Amino acid sequence: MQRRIRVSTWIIDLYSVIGVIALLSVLPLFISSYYTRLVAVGILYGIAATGFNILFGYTGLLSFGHAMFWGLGGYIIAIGLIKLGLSFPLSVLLSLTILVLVALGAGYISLRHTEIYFAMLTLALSQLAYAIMLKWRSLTGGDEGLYGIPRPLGTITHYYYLILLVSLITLIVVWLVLRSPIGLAFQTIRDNPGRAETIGYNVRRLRLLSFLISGIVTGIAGIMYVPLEGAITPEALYWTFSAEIVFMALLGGTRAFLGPFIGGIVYVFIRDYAMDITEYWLFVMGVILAILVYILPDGVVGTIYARIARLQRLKR
Amino acid sequence: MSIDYALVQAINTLFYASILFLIASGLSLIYGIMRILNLAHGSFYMLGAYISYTAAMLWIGPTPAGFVAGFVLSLAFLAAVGALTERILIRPLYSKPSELQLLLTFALMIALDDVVKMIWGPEYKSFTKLPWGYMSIGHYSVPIYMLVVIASSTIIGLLLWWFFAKTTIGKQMRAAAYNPEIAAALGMNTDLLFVSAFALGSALSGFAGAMASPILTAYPGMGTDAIVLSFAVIVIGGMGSILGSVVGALIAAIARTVMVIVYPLLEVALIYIVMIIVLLVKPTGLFGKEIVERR
Amino acid sequence: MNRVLEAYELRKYFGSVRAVDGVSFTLNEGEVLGIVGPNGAGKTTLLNIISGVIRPDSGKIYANIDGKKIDITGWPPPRLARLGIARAFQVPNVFTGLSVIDNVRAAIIGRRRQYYTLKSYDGGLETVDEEAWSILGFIGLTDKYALPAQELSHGERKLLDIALALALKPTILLLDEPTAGLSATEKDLIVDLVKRMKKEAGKSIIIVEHDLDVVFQVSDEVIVMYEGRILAKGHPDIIKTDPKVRSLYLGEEK
Repeated sequence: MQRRIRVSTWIIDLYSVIGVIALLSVLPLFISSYYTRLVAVGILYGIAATGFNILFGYTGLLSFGHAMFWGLGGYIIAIGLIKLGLSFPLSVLLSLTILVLVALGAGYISLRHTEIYFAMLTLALSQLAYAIMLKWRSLTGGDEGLYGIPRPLGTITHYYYLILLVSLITLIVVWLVLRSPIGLAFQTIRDNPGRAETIGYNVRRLRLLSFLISGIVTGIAGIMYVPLEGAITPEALYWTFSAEIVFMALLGGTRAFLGPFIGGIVYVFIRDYAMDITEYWLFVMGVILAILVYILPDGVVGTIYARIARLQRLKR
Repeated sequence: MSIDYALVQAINTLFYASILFLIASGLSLIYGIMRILNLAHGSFYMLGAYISYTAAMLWIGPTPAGFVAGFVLSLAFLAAVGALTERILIRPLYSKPSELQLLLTFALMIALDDVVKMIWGPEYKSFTKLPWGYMSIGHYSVPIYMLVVIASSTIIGLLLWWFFAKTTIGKQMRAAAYNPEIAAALGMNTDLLFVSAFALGSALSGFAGAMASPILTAYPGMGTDAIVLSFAVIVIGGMGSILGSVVGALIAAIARTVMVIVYPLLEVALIYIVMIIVLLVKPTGLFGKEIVERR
Repeated sequence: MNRVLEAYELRKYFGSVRAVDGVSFTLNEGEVLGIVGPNGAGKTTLLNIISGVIRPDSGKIYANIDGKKIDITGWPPPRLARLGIARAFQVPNVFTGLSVIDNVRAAIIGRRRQYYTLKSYDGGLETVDEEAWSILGFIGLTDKYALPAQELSHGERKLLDIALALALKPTILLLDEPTAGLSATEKDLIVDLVKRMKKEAGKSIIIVEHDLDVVFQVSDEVIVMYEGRILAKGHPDIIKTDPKVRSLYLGEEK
């Protein structure tokens, strides 16, 4: 039977992940350490956006507070490393533990609603986290943040490979979850929560699960980011960064598995380009992003996928 | 705490609430009618602040005439900016997923921060003088200007209430705000409805900026703080409700004043705690109705 | 014969409107019960009550499934689905972003509660896939398996909606206006499908329908509703000649 030998799009996604990571792993051989650092930031933004998209693209919930996970992940590892003097692995563990608790709590609260009210609840929760980080000076350094956070493995290039490894593992795990029946359940909830409930899914529990995985993935990116930069400020939790995460995801394409990841990398390069050509880089970036909204509404990867699908149809 | 001190704090609170009300009612109006969360709405507030600075400090001088000119100018200018934004930027996106509209307004927001820096520079712009002098309450002195702002905001609030409660177009707009399909059913010209709602909402925000800046100064980035606070205000009051914006603004202002005096550490946090509680207990806000999502 | 569903004196008023006003009926195992009536007769309200979407003001519904008689009055749809009562909708209620085959897989996986596993849903669960393909074949959507539901025609989406209901392996199937908005050829497809669901799959079916021809072709018993009450009840051939029914419909259809 011909229909059963069709290649699953999930397999294509896996090959894309492996291909992109392979490409990224040889990249430092050809570029300066400035660009290596830049790509590392892009990768982590991409992971953050991938986490966001589990909730948005696959489960249909627009979180407007994902900076909370990024920022909390970053703050807690910073506190673990320089305030508590823990080792890197222990700090990561501490950070992950607190992220799980925060995600469960925030998810429990914000999933009382959907749509705009859900977005507003996540916004309020993340602004609350921002306010706490801003004011809890003894622990967080207030508006100046925390500095001098040591980077494990020394050089940027070495740390880059650690980031790449963590990203690969994270992407594969997310891929495994989304192509499992849980991922299918998420998508039924995105499309039609009422019918999903009727056909046997526990919608509330699955939404919470999605929220939890989503928050942890974005949090992992924040955890890895702080040692790269060596510093963190409350801006990491401010609402504008949540909006930036949304932007990265849509820039890459929310209906393509790898879309948000690519979106994060592209976003960082647009920003770097804008900063390079003018001091008014925010203006340039705003203009570029606005143009992309009009010409690439499906995102970079989404558009490529659509092109390929159209070509396949023409061939048939 | 003396009576005088309490009175001064009350005036401060009302001043702050007046500004918040003006921004939030505009945001609420636009969201109500178009289901668009305009993230650049705070940037319009910032533009209003700078225009008023330009009129009062650079062109005419800090006289009452200069200030009034600033108010009128920012009102008119932001109405035009709002109308153009809707017509040129947002209109092509109506048929697209709503996230794209949100992103476009975000792009506009970050671009406008730099526009302001290009024209006026990155530093804070303070007004050297306030018009209409000061009055003394005990040994405190309070700018009459604050009272003027409170009065203007009250008048605008009453005008809005009159417009939405008494005029035909206002009633239709309000009906459309709760259920967009009603607009079409009533045979309203939705093109005109959207552009006028956006112009009016933006003008309110610009006006708020113009009135706020003589006290709160003008600076790049003031919009990003303002927008998120106005989200809190309209969520607490109820999205799409003018009365809700009044009450939400008052709650936000009172919470701020109380926390500044009692426990400054929680000043920034309290409003979000209130927002979360309201959303959990009554998601439509204190005065809102059920919002019908646009399909 | 086993009565799989029994309803007694169901009532539902909306303010002063008596949408359903004392309706009783039984559904026999392996039979098709057609419910017809003009607009506003209370058919859809009745189906909403049976399928747990709204609660009746009074009255009782019992199900006889697996040899047990259970009071199911007011049960919500997910609970009814687990018991074996599934509904297809007038306006297709499917997962628009998912492909046809994934829609059906989702329903099967949901029914089996097989979702906490890391096997791929896209081919990794063999028994699910076997069942999904057989349902698609039964419904006649095999060719369209890869299309996202949003790209299907209205008629195909209605078929997919019925496929989702079938995937829940129901004993009783509730069909709400399955031919509304369909062309004549598509109606024939539905008629054929309903007959096969009864004969080959052994389903007991309640069909609420506007089109009398369709109902007369598929039903073992027909209920005619008017103003919330049952006007006539009986074999299609008897109903066809019933003077009350004739005047009701001749009056309405000019």
